[in-house]
Amino acid sequence: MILNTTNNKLLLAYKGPFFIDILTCFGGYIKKMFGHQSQTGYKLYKVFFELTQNVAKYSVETSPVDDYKYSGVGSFNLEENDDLLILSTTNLIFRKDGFVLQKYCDEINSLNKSELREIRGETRKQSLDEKDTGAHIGIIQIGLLSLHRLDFEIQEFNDEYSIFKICTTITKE
Amino acid sequence: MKNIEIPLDKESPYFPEISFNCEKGICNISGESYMEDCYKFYLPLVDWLNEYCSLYSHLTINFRLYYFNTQSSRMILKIFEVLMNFKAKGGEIIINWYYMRSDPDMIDEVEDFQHESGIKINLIEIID
Repeated sequence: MILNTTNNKLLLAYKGPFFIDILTCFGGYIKKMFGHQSQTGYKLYKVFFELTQNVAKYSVETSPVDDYKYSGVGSFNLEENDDLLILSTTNLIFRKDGFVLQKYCDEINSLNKSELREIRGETRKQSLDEKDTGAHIGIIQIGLLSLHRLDFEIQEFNDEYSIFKICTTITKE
Repeated sequence: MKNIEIPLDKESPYFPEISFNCEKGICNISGESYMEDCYKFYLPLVDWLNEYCSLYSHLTINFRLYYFNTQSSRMILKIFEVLMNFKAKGGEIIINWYYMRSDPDMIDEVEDFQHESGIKINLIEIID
């Protein structure tokens, strides 16, 4: 079930390649919008990069450019209502990976803060092989920062691909 | 051994500023850390620390990281593991982690680094 965002105000939206320099620009804008002297601002900034860097690394749709190692394509929306900030990303994944992602998200939604910290530690200590880029630990971190349930949706696109959407909320101070 | 000095680059703010000085025995890591290839960036720093720890007996390391992504956190943990080994062999180590008062999540992060590495980290609050 994806959080109903129809009554929310759209603050920021982007669709395209998630090159690190593009994400940096948006991150800078988020800092200015929310200030970097509030807990909300810090949380939003951190969640923004964890969510979007996962898209950059793992989206199966890419727009390769020599200057960048990661060139995943997707979209993100930042919305708000009176009490919450809502950040979501959407990207293409292999259908076969949908099951693993669902498992990660369900697991994170079943754990409390202490349990999430523990599992983050265990995951972090696993192989530091440079090929291992750790999507799992990224989603755990998002769960820890948000402290809200992760909403996600996996829609089959065709025989090979699915569309993965993940939505996280942050309570405003 | 040579020092490592990596100044802050406004064009690439995802690399932290690095100052590793073997004469003074002081290392500083400041700014933000969310580069594409964390392993490639941090491996020379880990190698430097391993070499330093084999030659010297004292080290102070200061962290002033506003933000680091989860991939960076794995390499930071690697640094702490090197320092823990140094301490276990009789080295004297002081680790200071400066955090913003408005970012209490950072306290949890550092406490978890302590727990996972077994090394003491001094948390120092900065009023922002």
